[in-house]
Amino acid sequence: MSPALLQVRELSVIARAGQRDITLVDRLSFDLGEGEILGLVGESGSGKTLACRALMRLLPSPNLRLEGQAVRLASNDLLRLDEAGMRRMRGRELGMIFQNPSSHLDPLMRIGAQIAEGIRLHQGASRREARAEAIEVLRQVGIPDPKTRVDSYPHEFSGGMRQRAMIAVALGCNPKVLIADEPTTALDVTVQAQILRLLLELRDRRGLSMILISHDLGVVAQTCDSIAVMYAGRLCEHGAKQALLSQPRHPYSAGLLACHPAARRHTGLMNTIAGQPPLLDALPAGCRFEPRCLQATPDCRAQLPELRVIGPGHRLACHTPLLAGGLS
Amino acid sequence: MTTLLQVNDLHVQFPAPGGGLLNLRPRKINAVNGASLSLAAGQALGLVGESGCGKSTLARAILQLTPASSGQVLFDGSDMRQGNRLDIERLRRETAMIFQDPYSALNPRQRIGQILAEVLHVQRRVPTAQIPARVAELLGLVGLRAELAERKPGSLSGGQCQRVGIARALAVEPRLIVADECVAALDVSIQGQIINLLLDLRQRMGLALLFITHDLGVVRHLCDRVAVMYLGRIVEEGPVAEVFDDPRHPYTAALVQSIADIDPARRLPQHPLAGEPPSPLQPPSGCAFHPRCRHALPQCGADIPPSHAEGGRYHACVHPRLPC
Repeated sequence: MSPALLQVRELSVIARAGQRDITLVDRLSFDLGEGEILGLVGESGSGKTLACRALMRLLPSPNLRLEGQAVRLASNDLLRLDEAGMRRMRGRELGMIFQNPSSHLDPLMRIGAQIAEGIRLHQGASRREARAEAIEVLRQVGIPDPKTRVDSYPHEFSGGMRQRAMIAVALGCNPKVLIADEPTTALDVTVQAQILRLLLELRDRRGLSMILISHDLGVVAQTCDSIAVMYAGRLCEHGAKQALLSQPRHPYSAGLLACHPAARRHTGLMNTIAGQPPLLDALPAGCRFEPRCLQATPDCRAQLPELRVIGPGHRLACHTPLLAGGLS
Repeated sequence: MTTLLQVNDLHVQFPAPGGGLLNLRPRKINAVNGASLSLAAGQALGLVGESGCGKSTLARAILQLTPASSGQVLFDGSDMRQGNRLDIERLRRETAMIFQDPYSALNPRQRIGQILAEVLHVQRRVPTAQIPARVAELLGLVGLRAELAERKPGSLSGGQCQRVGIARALAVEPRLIVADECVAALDVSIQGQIINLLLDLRQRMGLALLFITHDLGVVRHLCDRVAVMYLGRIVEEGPVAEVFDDPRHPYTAALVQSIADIDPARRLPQHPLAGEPPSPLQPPSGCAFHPRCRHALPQCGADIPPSHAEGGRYHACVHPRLPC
């Protein structure tokens, strides 16, 4: 694989709650190669979205703070940049798209103007150039008749077209890395397939790297090169898609896979993971998955397992991993 | 098996916004457009389709929560649309609904015990003195500890709240439960727990289940039959395994193809279904699916395809996919 374009080292997000600190994202480290699509999966509250907001240094509340060794992108360390420097990185180097396009597009601004705004700001293009570029980007994301549609308002677009428009806004600034936070969750399944296909095409055409956040392993399985699984704020397994899906080593990854409705072809009882995720203000001292884990030993309760390399491009945080030969 | 619910050519219309200042020419949206289906006692029918296709409206019209404009809803043989107050009261006693968002379906100011006791009290199912015992029994039935009766919904997790919603539905000892996207808001590990609970209750109590969802994977686990809706019409209906493995209607085929599968060897469809569901305000002529259909013939835009029966399966398409 090509050298890492984005290097994240020990990134934490900590919330101040009264007198104590609650760690919401705990020392996240990963690399993202050029043209790589990384799927970040986990259940709600596992810290996926917060981790990606932390990369952009856009934390949703002043009570949250960022700690970490480094977030390196294009010879810059995002954690060391001042706010003006960070502003130049957002959009130009790191683009982001969200789950609900309606709430992230300005309803009073024409689609073309929203795309052109970023182009003019980051590339210093003239009004006319930016408009031409906006039409070109709209064409690339598959909006029919972009010359007319560039003057539409968001409400004139359908849900799928709005998601395409938001992708166009992000692409207009020509970012190297695109963070897509549940980009298809609000869409119907047939439209979901269209948008995922579009993201794959953009990667192939522009060499764009992506972090795709999803709670649906099915979405990730069909689009990503590598998968990182998060549980209660920590990365528990990270590896190539093929390896992780066919031979998950962490009991939680295996559980998530087994729970997927498509995991078992026949009818009948579904697999489940008993219990529920821990509250982040009352975390167990040891492994956070231990109370729900069938493999747990006393060690797991006592000591938090650290993420370590177990094979080429495969990392795991577990004291009692599943055997490499499949589910034990 | 006896037929518990029979829906014949049901139409539901809503007044549409617009139509001018004086509303001289009121426009109508046909949310449900001639839907027919039947459900036997103890059977589970999955109702699938994309958002806005009329799944929830159909379910609400069946339960007489939304007035239908024409058609029949036969519950246990009698037409509820023509029914008097006693018929509707019986319908309320013998059917129950589970909702998508478990938090907003429960009163946040009531304790779980009060929420369940209220149903028992209104329906006069058990003597007042026995209500606390029955509440504990109901909680046990859905796998919750009896102590939770003292808690309020805000202090429960999403999965626990959904279990309370199911316990409330069971309180009337219904013969039919309508579940509207009841696992869509839950995490996958919790989703499985709720589905297994419904499967178990169905078996033990002989419940009939109308299960509305956009997730085809869940239907495969839970349901015997599946009905696929597109823009107010049921375009295909049949046994789950047959419909999924060998869909007749091109829309069903596209839906099945779009299921996000965890098999890494399965790729995204190379040419996913283009376009998006049309607006019910301006439905296409003829078959509503024809503008997106790759196999559409000129006649598809002209006539609404009638429903064909074929060995326990139904489809509404003039050139269905051939059996594999």
